[in-house]
Amino acid sequence: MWHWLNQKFLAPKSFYANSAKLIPWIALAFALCFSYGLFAGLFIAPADYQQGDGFRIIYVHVPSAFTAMAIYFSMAVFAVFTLVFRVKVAAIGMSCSAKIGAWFTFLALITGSIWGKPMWGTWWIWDARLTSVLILLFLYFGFIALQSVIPNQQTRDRAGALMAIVGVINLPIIHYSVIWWNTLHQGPTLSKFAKPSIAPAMLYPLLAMIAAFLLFYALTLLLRMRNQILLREINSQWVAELIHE
Amino acid sequence: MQQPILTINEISFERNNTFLFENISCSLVKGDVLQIAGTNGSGKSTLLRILAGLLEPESGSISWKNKCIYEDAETYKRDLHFLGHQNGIKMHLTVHENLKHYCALTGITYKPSTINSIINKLKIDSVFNTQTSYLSAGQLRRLSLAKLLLNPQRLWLLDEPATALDSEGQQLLIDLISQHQSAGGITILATHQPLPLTVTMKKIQLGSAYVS
Amino acid sequence: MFHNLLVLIHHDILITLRQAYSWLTPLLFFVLVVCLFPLALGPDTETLNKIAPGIIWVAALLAILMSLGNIFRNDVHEGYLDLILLSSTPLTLLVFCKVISHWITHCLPLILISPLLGVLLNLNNTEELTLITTLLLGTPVLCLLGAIGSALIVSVRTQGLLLPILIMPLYIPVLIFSTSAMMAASLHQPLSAYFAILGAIALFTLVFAPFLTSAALRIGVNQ
Repeated sequence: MWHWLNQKFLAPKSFYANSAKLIPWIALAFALCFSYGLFAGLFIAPADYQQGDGFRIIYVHVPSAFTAMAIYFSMAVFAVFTLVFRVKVAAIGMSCSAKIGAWFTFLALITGSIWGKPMWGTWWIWDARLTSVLILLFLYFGFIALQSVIPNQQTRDRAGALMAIVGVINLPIIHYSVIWWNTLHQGPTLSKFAKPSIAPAMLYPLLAMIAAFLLFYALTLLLRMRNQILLREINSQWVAELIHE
Repeated sequence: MQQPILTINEISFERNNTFLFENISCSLVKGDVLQIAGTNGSGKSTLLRILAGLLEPESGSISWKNKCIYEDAETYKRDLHFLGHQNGIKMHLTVHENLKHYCALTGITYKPSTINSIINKLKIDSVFNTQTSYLSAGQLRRLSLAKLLLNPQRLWLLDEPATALDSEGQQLLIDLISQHQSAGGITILATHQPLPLTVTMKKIQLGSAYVS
Repeated sequence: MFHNLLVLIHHDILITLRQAYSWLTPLLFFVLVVCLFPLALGPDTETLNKIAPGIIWVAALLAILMSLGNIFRNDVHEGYLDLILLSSTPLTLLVFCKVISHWITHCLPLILISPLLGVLLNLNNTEELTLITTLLLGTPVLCLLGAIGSALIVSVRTQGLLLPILIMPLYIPVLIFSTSAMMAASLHQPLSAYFAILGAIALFTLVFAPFLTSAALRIGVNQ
């Protein structure tokens, strides 16, 4: 069963062929979610009664922060497939995810900071969530740095996989310790990111944007992976045939 | 026809998209000596590391006593002695401490009398209590051969064992391998120059490395 | 078996003691970094006392990180790593022994000298005791986690500052809880909760880290 699956879908060659069919659909779904989310978020959703129109950056900030976290977890899943089942494609997916994830984390930090300026009157505050996102960025940097120094492909894949797993075990501990640290030092202030209840008109565009960001990740991931597959298999027969076509 | 003990089945190894070697097969019976020959960079050490189970091949399998070495790694480790091109000697311990350390690591009971006879045989008794960082390359090599004697395992994997040894040392090495061979042990040597052994050696010739 | 492991630890400690610089440099580094802060911030005792937990802990963390780069370094050069990978003793146990001996030679001196640094930064008795307790509970975690990273890059030739980048984010929980405990001590608050959390983190790491380190060594040895 597993062997069959491996041959049918997860061998680099068949993955390359099958992913081509998937890409247009993902692109379409992304376009739909993104256009609805953006339009509804910017024009239909009512302005926040405290923050006015400034809150609308939530439609970029929250999805990017969420996606950044989700990508790290997906890397850990890829890592397990790399280490336990020795799936080559998973290793490729993992290292491609890292760079996309780092960019999403960066985006979350930038938008958080832009949001913070009118809300807090300063570009940066050591808010629990922003700090967690910052630490996530460091974890991504560590992963990328590790993979960039190891010359051997197989070692690079496995070392990265182990690091991703170590990171994902630690991530909840880091996250909660930062939240705890934050409440300890700042007292129970009202977090700007806390949304005890949110009006449906605000919520649906947000969900759409989160879906759109995840789809965008899937899309760029597939494109990057296809690229990497070609690079790694450059000496194989099927790539040579592909180039001749 | 004897049952093969170590079977190497179509091993290939790839490094950064080029094959270092492809489809190496070989089976060894009791008392065999195998030479892995090849020019510098042809993958001798790599193949030896694969045989030791330190490195995984791209494809192919190795079995020891009819069991895949990855599935039954414990048995294989117990029967195996690997001597890489570094000696595996701790530089800031004395010769004595190194041997004691090796006993503790491999779980052999430490017997001073055995140790004494071994160091006398290898003529490193004069430096017994000297830190190994003061030893010459040849003496270090002799010390690493002492470990072979300390723990007489079935399969020896030796990477360029004759390096740095003087003619007397080389003769010692040859005697060691001959004794091991007549006791039914298997020896695999990665070396480009054949040792003048009395027994006939099997041989794997690795081609020159692909240059991309 | 147990006796064998003791021999290994004893030899590891012996090796470090015979190369005095390898345990003295992290210790001196620790002291120097702590002494830089009064020079940078001015000698006002109140300010120094307030930020003392952060200073001492960050300095200790950096000193330990620097020492951890060497935990498997010589073993690779000497071919000793192949030996322990092929030894019939479980690798996880051997790794655990290495971390223990590293902690004894590189962290224990820091802990022993930390009360003196506490005096320099005007810590009172409770704070001194809290400092020592947090260091005792926290430094094993730093060693255990650092060993994972160190094992992964064990054969990388130009390591530079790679290890700190890899590992430092993982040190954040220990840093947070240790320094918080010291601040609580200065405010005369109860401390047992902090020690319990630090202890829990230490136990958790103790269970997982040696296993992950041995996996990392198997990966890292082939470059």
